[in-house]
Parts: sequence; C-alpha cells; structure tokens
Amino acid sequence: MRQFDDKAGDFASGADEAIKAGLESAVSEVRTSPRLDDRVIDRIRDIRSQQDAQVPHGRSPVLLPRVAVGAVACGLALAVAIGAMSSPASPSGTTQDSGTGASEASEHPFSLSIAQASETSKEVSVAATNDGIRPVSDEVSRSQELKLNLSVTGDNITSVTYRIVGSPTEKYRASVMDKDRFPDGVGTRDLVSLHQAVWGSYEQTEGFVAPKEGQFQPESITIDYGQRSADGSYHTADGVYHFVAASGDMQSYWDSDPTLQALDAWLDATLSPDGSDDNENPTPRAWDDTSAEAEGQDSEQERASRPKRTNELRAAYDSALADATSTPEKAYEWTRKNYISGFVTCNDSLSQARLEVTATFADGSTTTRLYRIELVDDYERVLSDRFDALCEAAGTIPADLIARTGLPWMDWDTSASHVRGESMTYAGSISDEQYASDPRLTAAMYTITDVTEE
Amino acid sequence: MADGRERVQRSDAFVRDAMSAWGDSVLRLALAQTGSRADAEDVYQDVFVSLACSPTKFESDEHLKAWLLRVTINRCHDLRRTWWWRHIASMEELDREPSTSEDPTSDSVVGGRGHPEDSCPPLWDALRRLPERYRTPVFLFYVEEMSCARIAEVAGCRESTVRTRLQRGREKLRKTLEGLDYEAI
Repeated sequence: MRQFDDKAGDFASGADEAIKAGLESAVSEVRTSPRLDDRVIDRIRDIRSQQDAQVPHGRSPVLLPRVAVGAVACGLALAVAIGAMSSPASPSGTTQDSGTGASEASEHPFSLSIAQASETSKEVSVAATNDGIRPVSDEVSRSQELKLNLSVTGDNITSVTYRIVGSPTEKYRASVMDKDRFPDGVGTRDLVSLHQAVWGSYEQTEGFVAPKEGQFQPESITIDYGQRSADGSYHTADGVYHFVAASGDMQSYWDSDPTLQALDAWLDATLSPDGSDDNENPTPRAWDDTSAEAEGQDSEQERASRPKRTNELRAAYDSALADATSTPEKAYEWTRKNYISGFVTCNDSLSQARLEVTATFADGSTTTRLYRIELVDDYERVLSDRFDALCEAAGTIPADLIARTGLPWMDWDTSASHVRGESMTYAGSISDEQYASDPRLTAAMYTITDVTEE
Repeated sequence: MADGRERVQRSDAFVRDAMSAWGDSVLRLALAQTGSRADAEDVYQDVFVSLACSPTKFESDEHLKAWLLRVTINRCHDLRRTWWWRHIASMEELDREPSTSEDPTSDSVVGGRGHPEDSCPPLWDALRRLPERYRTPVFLFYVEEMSCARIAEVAGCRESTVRTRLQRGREKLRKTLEGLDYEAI
C-alpha cells in the first residue's frame, strides 16, 4: 500500500489529479448569495436587539433554523443539549430556609393546578386539553411532546422553577466538539426534557421558536407569575408553550414490530454500512484511534457483499411493509398498533422522570414538589379510541399515506401544534371545534401524581 | 446555535467580511456533509451567527477559516443527530446510496442550480458516499487545499489520524469510482 506523503503533495498520479480537478469543478458553481448573507445579518440583529430591549418573553422570538422548527413540528425533538444529568432528586416538599426569614411549609402550601389531589387519591387524571396535558402533535413515533398547563395554586408566589430530574438517558456518538467531555467518544443525553417555545415564523415556514428570553431547551424554566387571577390560580404568560419532550428507548420501539425491525435493519445497514457510526449503540473508542476496527475498515469480502446485503434488507422491509399494509384495514390496524406502542415506549421513560417544581414566595422562602406523569391505567382503550377519532376528524387513510411515503410515521395537526401540513408524514388537521366536541380526543391520557413524599 | 442567552460580540461588518472571504468554503463543506442545499444554508446561517456570538480571538485569516470549518462540521453533526434528519430527510438519501443503485453514475439525486450534481455527478456522488470521517479530510484536502496539519486542527484530531483517514478515504473513493474513466471526469 502506497503511503500518503503530505509534504510531497503526493497526489501526483493522473487519477488523483483528476479527483482534485473533478471535485473543484463540482463545487465551482456553489456560491453564497447576498440573500443568504442578509438572513445571517438579520438573525444577528435579532439577537442584538433582544440583548438591548429586555422585552418580556413571549414576543419577538429568536428564530431557529428550519431544521429545529421541523424537528419540533414533528414533535420528535430529542434531548440534543447535553445538560448536566440530574440524579433522581431528593428534595422534600418542605420549605427551605433561604436565609431571608423563611417561613414554615404549612404557611406556604402550593401545587400545580392540574395535580390537585382528589379526596381519595393523590393520582389525578388530567384531561387532554389546553388546560391539562395533551400532545403537542399526535404522532406515530417513539417520541412525544406533551403540552403542560403550568398554572399553580397557592399564596404569595412570586416565581416557580421547573426542571426534569431522574430522566433515563441514551448514548450517542459524540462530535469532536465534545471530545473533552466525552474522551471515549460516547455522549449521554436525557430522554425526558423540558422545552419552551412561542409560535413564530422563520422564512417561509411557521413553527415553534425559542422565546425571546431563554433557550428552547433549557436545563430549567423559571416563570415569574403575575397577579393571582380570579380563580385563585397563578397563570403563565400567554403565548409561551411549555412542554415535556419524552423519547422512549429507540431499540424497544423498533423491536415492538417485525416491520419496524426490518426498517431499522435497512436504515442501519445503509446509514452506517460499516457499523462504526452506529449512533444508537456507540462503542467507546479514543478520538485518535485509527485502528481498522475503530475506523470500520472492512475487508474486501465485506465490502463486496455490502450492496447485495443492503438490497436484501431493503427488499425485506418492502416485503414486510407490503404485508402489513396489504389491505386498507390491515394498514389501519397496523398504524393504530404503532401509534399506541409509541406512547407506551415513551411512557417507559416519562414515568421514570420527575417534574420538579420549586416555588419561591414573597418572603424569599422556597418549597419544592415532585410530580410523576404517566399514562392512565386504561391507556390502550383511550389511545385506541383517540386514534380512531384522529383518523375520522382528519379523514386519514393510513394505507394511502404509507403508500406515498413508504414509511410507517404520520402526524396530525391540532391547535396545540398549529396547522402546518408541510411535513412529509402529514396525516391531516383537526380543528379546535372538532377537538373539543369529541370526548375521545379530550379524554384523559395521562395522570399526574404528587410524589414528593415518596 | 444561537439562542436567547447568547450575546453578539462582533460587528455586522466583521461578519460580512468573514462571509465574503470564507462563505463559499463554509457552504461547500456543509453541502458535502448534508447533501442538501437547504440544510447547507441552515448550517451556513448557524455558523456565522455563532461567529458573531463567539469571543474567540483570531490570530490570522487561516485561523478564522479553520474555526469556521470546524464549527461547520460540528453543526452538521448536530443536524445529522436530529430525528428529522435521520428518519425523514435520510429517506431521500437512502435512495441514492450505492447499495440501492448498482450503477454509480445513476442520476438519482435531486440537483438544482449551483448544485455539484449538475457538474460532476459521479465524483460528487462518490464523495457523498464516503463515511463522514473520510469525507471531511478528502474534501478539505482536495477542494480547500488545506494541509494535513490544518485539517487536523479543523477535525479535532491528530495529524497522523488525518493522514490515515485521507489515505483510506482516497482508496474508498477510488473503489467507488472503479471502472470510471478518470480522464473523462
């Protein structure tokens, strides 16, 4: 094998010169444009004006790039930021002395409005409405985003801080920027996280964007509550969405169905043909490890057989998909099953995490409560009915959508997600009126339980 | 990526000068990494917004260029990690993989004005098929004419690693192109 000689500029063969000339020719027409540069400057000015203005959040959003909007619009955003992983918290629900004359817990009771316990149980079923807990966008997916009503009850509350603790995590192949934090090349991220966003526009596309103040996915969210309203609750500012994004274990979701398994196998073989870029189950390796194994350097035999193998996997997926969707009825039931299993997989992560809520009172003292959110006991019936209602209201025919995309995924727009209809897997829209009038859609999907004392 | 907590550290003029000097390089690298003009333009915006918000002191134009290309690579990594890219955008990608098309010259990628597919489909296609860790050094060496030392700085690895990957990347590129008439490229 001829060794590369950088100093000698050893690409002197005819082939190498041709490669260089060919690639240079290929990109010679790629140029930036004044329009693109102007967009950059607009974004910078937006950030600068935000620094100067100190405007309350919920207005003049900082625009995120199209991909971020798309990811949120899909309701499938994963925990990308690698924030410090919090261990399951142990704060009690008692008032903590802040050094400013803290008062006793009993003097400052408070709770999330949606978690006010009934007389018989601390577990509360919460309607799937804007006043409760509802999916931002119903999807066939292993990830869900749940819009939360963060109104609180209590007295003399000045602010409340929310964060997720005890989230399970997943590993991923870290990028070089994180090599100091992850010397073995394997990063870790939370499967459950808090998001905040406002509705805004970005170029031609509307979508969720970061609020004026604060990140799209912060480690915690602190809300300064205004005056207590007539109903005795403290409400969040209008226009800001707060939601919990939860993802189930990816492999569990793939394994829940043989056709999804076939899709997974084909995706992996094609996107990570040598197995070395496996983002779902990365193996530790030093950043400078250039061994054949770490580099995924495959043998001639492996290289030769790869196209055949990948084509076989593609054919296996096509065959499985065709079988699963051979009739409209089978496609409908298969999609319903995937819809439900997505929520179930997601619930495995969600129910392990805790929503930690810390209220700060006018006297400076604080009280922390912990909540667990999970699917209702009869979730199979609730989700099955909900799927029927979605398809009826939006006129969705799963067989048609699957035939068009070749994918099992689909998503429905509701008022919580805002109508967009632009995604490849768009399955239809449900109006506010349709949503509110169908008890199958507003039926409680989740319970919330105060587990502070557990 | 810019967010509400970042602060702009540089003037518009500085950013415009940087875009004028190195914008094409950033866009080309992003295009090589993502294969999509729209994604590349998103990455481009993020990179220069990051520049505006970065306190890094640049010692030279080359230092600035290396910084920009490194941020470009990392932003592309972030993009590839998103669910949207992996499961939706990547579906378009799959149909142009060599394994699904025995003919490497097949024109299966949607091109467009100013897209490399228009001018050199087989070679660009072959570059796109390289694993990322090989694609980056090959692209930076051939197109940006960067030295191995500079590529190492951009890629965040040792120079010896760059040499290894460059060599293997070139071999993989040749394998992919095997049978093509190089003189005709």
